[in-house]
Amino acid sequence: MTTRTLSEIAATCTKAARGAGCPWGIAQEAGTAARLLEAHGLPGTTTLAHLFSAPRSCACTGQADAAACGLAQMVALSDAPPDQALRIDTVAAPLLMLAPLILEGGSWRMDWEGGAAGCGPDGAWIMGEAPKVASVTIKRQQDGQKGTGSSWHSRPVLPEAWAALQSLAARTYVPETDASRASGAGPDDSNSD
Amino acid sequence: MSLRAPSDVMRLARLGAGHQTRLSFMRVVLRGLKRGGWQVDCPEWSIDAHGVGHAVYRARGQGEEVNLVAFAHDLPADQRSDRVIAQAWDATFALVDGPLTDADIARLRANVPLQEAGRVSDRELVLSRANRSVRLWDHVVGCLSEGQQPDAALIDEVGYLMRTTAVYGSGKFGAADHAALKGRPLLDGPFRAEMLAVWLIRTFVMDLVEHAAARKGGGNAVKLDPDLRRRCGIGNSTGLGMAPFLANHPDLLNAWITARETALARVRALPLATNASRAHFQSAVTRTEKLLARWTTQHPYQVSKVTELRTDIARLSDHIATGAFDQPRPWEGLMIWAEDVLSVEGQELLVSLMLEPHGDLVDDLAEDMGADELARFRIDGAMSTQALRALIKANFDWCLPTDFDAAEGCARFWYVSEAKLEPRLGERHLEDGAECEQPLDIARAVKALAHDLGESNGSVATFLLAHPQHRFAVRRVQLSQSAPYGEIRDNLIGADLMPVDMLRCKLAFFGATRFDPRSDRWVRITMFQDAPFPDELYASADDDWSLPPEVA
Repeated sequence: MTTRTLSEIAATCTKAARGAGCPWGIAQEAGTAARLLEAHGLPGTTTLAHLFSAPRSCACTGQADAAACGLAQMVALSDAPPDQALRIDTVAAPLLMLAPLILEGGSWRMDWEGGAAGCGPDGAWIMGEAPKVASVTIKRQQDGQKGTGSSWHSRPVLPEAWAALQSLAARTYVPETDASRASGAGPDDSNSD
Repeated sequence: MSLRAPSDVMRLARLGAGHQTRLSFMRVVLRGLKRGGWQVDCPEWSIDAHGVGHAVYRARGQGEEVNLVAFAHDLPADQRSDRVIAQAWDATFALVDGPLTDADIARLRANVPLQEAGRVSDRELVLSRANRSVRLWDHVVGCLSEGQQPDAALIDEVGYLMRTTAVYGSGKFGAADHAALKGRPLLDGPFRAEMLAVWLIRTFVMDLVEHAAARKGGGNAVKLDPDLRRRCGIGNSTGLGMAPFLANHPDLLNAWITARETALARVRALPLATNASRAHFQSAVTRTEKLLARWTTQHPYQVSKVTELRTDIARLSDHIATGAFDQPRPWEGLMIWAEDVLSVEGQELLVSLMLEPHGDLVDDLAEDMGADELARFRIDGAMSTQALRALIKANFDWCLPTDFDAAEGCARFWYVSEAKLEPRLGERHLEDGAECEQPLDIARAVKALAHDLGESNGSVATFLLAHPQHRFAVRRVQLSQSAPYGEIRDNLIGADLMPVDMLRCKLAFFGATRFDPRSDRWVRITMFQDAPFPDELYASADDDWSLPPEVA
């Protein structure tokens, strides 16, 4: 399995989110979320790739009859962490919502049918597989469960998830043209002195 | 102690007039090497008669070890290109964290010469490559092989035997993330690993040119005179790929500028100039005159700036001679005088010169030039929209008058090229691709935010639920509270943008000299010129190499 650095994960996931139609601000939050989850041993890239592989309901897609977009829910949660237990029905890629809670720094727990994930001063953790779609309950906890601390090391990513994200990222690239070549971004070959 | 205002300091024309200072990363690394008692040797030199092979330069100190693995190649002349699309180079490099094994060398040999097309591991801190200055390389090899020393004037004119065309770090192409350096005694700071790599590359290049001369001249060949050797830096060609960095890392830019401005403020606040500091300053002025004499450039933009600088340095000398230091708070007086008399280039040069005699007062600030970019990443949704409006008024008033609907207000767009995945600058009204625009239209985005905010009340969180497209701008505006020097206060998509100013700002913080723009979007520079080599580090005066020696 290919390994990727956290920088590569953040950059590719940011561009992929933009390529999938997110505004730049949310795309940056998507890249940061994937990076944070991966740094804590959680499947950030796979979760994001799942999000973009199925219909989702949010302002970016304009679609209403699908699971709520995990990124849209994530940024709303980031802006206003709940004081009390928060129930969100039918969210696509809900694990993304853990990322801003890791950044927030407190102890949090997110439950879904058949699994749970959380974070706290002792790292982040997950029980069961990250769901593609689930209804979740999020609540602050007094004592965090012991989890995986942050690590900067490269980590394996699923090739098919990575390929899907790269394909989306490629939508943000601009092909070269005669005009762009003529304008010159850097040295030309007449400058070898 | 007041710092210069962001509204003045953060204009691109001033950022693009920056000079190296005591806080520049090259100087910080060499100070750290010496302070930490680091030793450098060359445990492996496997270069053949054709100049092909590899060498290892090992740096050890403070309980750590890093190794530069250098690969020398036989590059056909028709493949020598500084463009990012090049696929072969005269030399390629990796800086490796920790001791090396033969397996590491084999792994690196299979990947490092390929650069972007290869893959390194997270034990590598830096990936780089360099090409010869053909003219100077051939001249130096020719002279040394015949027992002669090369022409000092030609060395001064070119400034380097090889120039790097990329120095990649921080997670690129599989290399270690910057977080790997956190807490490390020498390398925990922005671009320190990259600058250490370049310093070691310079040593390799000088050893390689002497190797080539010895192979060519046999018993007639001589070594390069140490004074001439030291006058050879490492060149660098930098294009648009570097330009968006400052806009994409506002926390880091804020840390760099805050450190420099704090250093300046500390010096300005001094009640008097000691005899030692006067002498040191005077010496730095004299040596700067020599630097300016060496600074060759053809681009009209830089020619006029260097011409102004030469006039400015003469004015500064005259001003000092007429008793500028005999006034109370003389350094403050000097800056006030400069704001009236000198060009922007001259004023920023004076900032650098004023820091020179005051290492004890300012060098500690180099430890504050990093940034935890995640710490302030979350948007404060509880902030009121009134408070957000007030922040825009206080810190982004400069972008509100611009008409972004006018052709010149949005003439350019930044994008990533499909061919090389590198940042590029397009002409919006002439080229396709603006739908893939990168978010460097910060001024336009904040103005659009201000428009949609209107007179609304409520929380930022509620506003963003209805206007998710403004999250990017809201984050920038909120960050301006804690990072007053985080934003370039100019329109980065305007018709009058000079991208080379963005490059100059960053490269000055690296410690580069002799900025030589070849267009409005790429620049040649020199790094580590006059710096001690590893075997000279402890015999040389402390941190005294950034200007040419008074006697040479």
